[in-house]
Amino acid sequence: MTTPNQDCQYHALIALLGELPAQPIATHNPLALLRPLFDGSMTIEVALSPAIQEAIAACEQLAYQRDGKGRSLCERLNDLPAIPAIHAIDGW
Amino acid sequence: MIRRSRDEQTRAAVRSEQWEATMIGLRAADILRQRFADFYAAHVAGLKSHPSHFVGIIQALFSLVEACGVELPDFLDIRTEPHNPAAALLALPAHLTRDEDALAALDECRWTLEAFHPIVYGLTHEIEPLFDGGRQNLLLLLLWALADQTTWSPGAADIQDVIDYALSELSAERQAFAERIVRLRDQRWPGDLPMDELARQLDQVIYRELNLGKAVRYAFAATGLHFADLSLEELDEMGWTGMDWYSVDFATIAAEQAEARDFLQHYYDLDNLVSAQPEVFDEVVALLTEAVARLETSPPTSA
Repeated sequence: MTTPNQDCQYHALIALLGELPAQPIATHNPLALLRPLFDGSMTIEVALSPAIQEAIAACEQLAYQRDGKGRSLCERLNDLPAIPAIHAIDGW
Repeated sequence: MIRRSRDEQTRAAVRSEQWEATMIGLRAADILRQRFADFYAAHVAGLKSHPSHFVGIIQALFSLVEACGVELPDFLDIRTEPHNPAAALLALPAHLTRDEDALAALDECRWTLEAFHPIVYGLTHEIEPLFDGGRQNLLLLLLWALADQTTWSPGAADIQDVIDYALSELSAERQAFAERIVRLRDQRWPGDLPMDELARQLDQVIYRELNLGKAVRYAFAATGLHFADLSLEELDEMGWTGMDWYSVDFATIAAEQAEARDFLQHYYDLDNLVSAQPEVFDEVVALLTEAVARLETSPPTSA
């Protein structure tokens, strides 16, 4: 037997829980989300989608404890001085 | 039974060959999406994430770049089909059809994708490859010797050492060149010779349908075009600065490469004549000497 005051508290708690946004399991385990990518069943379009790219970034962050700098060889190379151009060539 | 923690599983996955290879393939796919959106939508977006498909995607990417007119070096096992880039998606070399072989090939493509350069056509300044066997680049030797004291001197080595090396490589039947090469030591141009002005004068000199100005500019890496002035060795020394595949203008690169090849052709054809016929060697020296004399007796013209 609950008191009216207790009932009120339960309802408030249930209402509060209902307000919490649903979280997919993969948020905690991004590797699970990537399984189809590595078993060859994911399309390229899906693989390049933001959700998959975020999962990839989360896994790499965990593996390498990256600080955002020097994330890949390509990005490090981008910081090197470009070949001096006499004629402007985008990207050099 | 030892159970790996979820984090350990993730670390192991990220450091696996399959992960690395897949990321390389996805990078190529992303470049296709950014740079060749129509092709991507029609042929790539719906492909499944098999390793062999990723190899095909890289082949298609380089096929499309070549279709823009860009000349690429031959690399690894990649096959390009510039006349039919869609076919390149399927044109896998026979030995790459197994997943593990495709993964290994993708790993080798990493550098190709991340620090990539179209072909550059500049001459190396390494002495031995230039004059090895004494059959080639006598035009270059001639020009380096004459311009040794000018601002265009490459300074890669003491010109006397270069001459000595070239002489040592000449075979007995080519000794007609030897005395000519030795004589160059006494014909050197003055150090204050305005080389840009000389090149402009030589642009007007056509010898056997070849433009002396273009040949001279190419020999001294003074064409103003990266693709004609840089050699692979120099690019290497510069650290292989990567090309930005997302924003690079392939049409501009193709045009500059074509222009550079034109400089190369004038040099190459003239060098073949100079290096084969002593009388041509003499005639070219005479034409250069005349141009220098004209320069010394007339006021400089504006650019």
